[in-house]
Amino acid sequence: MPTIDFSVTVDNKDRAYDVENEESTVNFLEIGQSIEALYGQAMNDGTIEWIPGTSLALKSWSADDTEMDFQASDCFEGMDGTYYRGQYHPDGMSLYDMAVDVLADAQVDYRDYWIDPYLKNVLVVNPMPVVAHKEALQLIANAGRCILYQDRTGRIILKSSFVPDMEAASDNETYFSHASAILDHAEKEAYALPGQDYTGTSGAQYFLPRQTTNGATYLNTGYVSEAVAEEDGLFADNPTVEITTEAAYKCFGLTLEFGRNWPDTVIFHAYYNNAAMEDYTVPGLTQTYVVSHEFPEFDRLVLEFSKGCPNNRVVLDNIIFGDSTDYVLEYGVELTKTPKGTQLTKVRELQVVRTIYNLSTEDAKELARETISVTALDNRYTFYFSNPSYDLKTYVPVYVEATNMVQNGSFDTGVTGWLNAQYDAARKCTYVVSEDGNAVHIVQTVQMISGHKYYLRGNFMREESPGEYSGNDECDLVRAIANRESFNINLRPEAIAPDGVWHTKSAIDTVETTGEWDLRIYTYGNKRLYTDSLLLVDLTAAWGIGNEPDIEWCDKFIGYFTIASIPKYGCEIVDSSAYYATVELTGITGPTEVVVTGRDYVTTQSKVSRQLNPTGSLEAWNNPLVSDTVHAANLADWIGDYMKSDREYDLSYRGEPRIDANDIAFLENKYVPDLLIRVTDHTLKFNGGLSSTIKARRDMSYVATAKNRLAGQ
Amino acid sequence: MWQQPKTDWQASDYFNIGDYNRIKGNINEIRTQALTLWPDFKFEEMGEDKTYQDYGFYADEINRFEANIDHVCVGTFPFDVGERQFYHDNGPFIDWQELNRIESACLKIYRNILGRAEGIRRLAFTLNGGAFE
Repeated sequence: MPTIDFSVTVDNKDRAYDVENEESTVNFLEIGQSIEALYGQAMNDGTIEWIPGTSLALKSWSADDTEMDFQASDCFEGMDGTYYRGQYHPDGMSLYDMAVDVLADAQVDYRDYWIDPYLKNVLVVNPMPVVAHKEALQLIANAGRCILYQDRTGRIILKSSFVPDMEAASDNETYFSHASAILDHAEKEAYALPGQDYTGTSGAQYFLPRQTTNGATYLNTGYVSEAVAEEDGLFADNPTVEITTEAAYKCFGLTLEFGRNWPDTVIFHAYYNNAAMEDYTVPGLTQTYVVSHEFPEFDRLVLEFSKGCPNNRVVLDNIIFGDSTDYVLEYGVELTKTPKGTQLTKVRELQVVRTIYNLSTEDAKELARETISVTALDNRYTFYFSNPSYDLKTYVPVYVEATNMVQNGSFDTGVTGWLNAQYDAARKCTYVVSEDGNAVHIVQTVQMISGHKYYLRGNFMREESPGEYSGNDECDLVRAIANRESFNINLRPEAIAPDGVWHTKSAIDTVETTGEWDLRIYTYGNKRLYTDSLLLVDLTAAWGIGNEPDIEWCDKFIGYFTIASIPKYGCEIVDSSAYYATVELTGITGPTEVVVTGRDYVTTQSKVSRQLNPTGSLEAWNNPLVSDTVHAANLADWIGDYMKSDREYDLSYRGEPRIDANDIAFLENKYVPDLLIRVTDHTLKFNGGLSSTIKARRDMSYVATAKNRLAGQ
Repeated sequence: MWQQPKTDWQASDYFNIGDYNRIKGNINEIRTQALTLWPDFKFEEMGEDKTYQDYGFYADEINRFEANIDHVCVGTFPFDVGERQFYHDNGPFIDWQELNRIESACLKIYRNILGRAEGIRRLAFTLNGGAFE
């Protein structure tokens, strides 16, 4: 976890900062208050050049009679709340979205962070474990091969920290050109081409095979443009090479290696998310040309050759990317002491652990049972689980006994108990249809009691068939004797649209007549009306008079049944993750026992190994977000590069406010020219003058190939 | 059109389209001159002149140079022009020594054929303007 600790001691003149002094500014300080530090250097002309130092949150302060101390730290210090929102995502969730969710949960404003869009392409399925927000961010950063830090303006930055995979291509290349090979760093072969003064006679070039369709093999060339420069070096159509990167990439320089004749001018067009970021022209190219330029962050870089070598094609063998630096820590110049080097323990093998989540084959079990106090204003309660769980359900274990008054309401085995009913064996339901436009209905008689409230519900579907529907449908309860229609479910065409899909419809009412009622599915329409799962419940008999639930409650909490104990009170999960469930209770107040059931995920582990050294220790790296083999292998390579750097340096030097942790620099060394180090710890002190110490690690990763290319430029 | 061959090739020299076109033109000229003295003989067509727009110098093109010099020797006189080379796709390009051999051979053959043409015995006589009856 990157940290910035900041401490300032000032003169407590006239005891202005005495904590007992009511007029002191000390009384206006608040924990978490923003502290911004700027470094200023007085120039010879009397002006002061300022550079931003850091932006931190005030942590503590204290004063004695002579001095006042302020301590501040970065924003990660305060992000110690717990993140419970981890969720298993079988289809994958991007690390970007996960980071946004963590930051939102930590109540960080979206303007106060930047996340590398590359992370939108890295999907993980595993839930984030229950950890502090800052640790969650660190896990995301690690899984995405990113670094996490707070920049000098106080913004949280989550940024990829590897040379992303790149691809090069061109729509202006010869049949034997390999634009894609310019990124492979390999030495290229040269064909004998007719370009002016291009082909030598020393035997170092090769005969070009003719263009055929039978799969001729060609030597490993780089990019060779289709366009040939005219006598004046200009092209009719400027050749271009396009490089796309897997992730946004910040580059401080690159090296172009051309073939025997090199063009004169190239224009770099940098794009990010398809927005043009910069056009940078480099004239006066040479065969090996180092472009020492801080490019803006890009995910697409187009090289346009605007002026070539007269009467020649553009032959580009390689483009070498990589961080580069011109900052050198030299004896007697920067260093105030000789560097102290430490050989760290070698790592023989790195094992990246993959955690694989599987669904449980066991039945759901009780995950939580607790009596909570419910009020009308506070009817929600959150349960936390120790293991990642799914298939969560909740209920209040108080039941009422109820019976479905509809006989054979599910039509599983036929239409027994119904008059006039037609049976659809495939759908296991009944249907009704009018052949001639006259009303038709199927019917069953039920016994109802005056003053009781009843809940009627069913699933309905209109036949999906050609032609317009004509007619009307209804499901109703009719007091046959008095022929009084008490209540009904409206099944007009628009109420159960679209056709071919089941629709659940319900109604609730209090009846006024005791006796036999007809439950009817009625139509005079020309298309079949399918009916299933009919339910009629005497709510008054089950809940008691005056306590009957309303129709919304019934729709939500009563499933289809014949005879059942159904929960008396409504209780549902309104928010959940793999580690918590927030339940909401309706229709109840006071102490209430609530149960949450679910299943635990079954987790297994597997490992991806990378051999680093013939001898040394075995290290295991466990990031619980990692489950995929390719993902684990990428991570093993990335961490392996770091672990291969088994030398650490302690340096004392003159102090440089521009240096941050994770910067790279060259260190003067008798045995290794261009010894590259990566700063891991930087302490800067000012007491009338600057002084500083650095802890750094020898960088053996991809940047180890970066030479001090900027030196002497 | 005959052009003076370059017979002082060195390893540091470049082989340009002018050199290619010159060698091709000279071999064609040798054949033209040879056909004034000898009956027709086998000869391979060597195509158009090279331009900067062409993709490359191909092995079969240089092999045709080599073959045609041999064909000229077979069809005219077995000049001592050294040993023929064969080239292949993706193989090393013709080097300066072989270029010297080819261009020197062209020069030798051309001079010889030209000398023969010029050295043919002729009987000079004057028709004297009289009328034949």
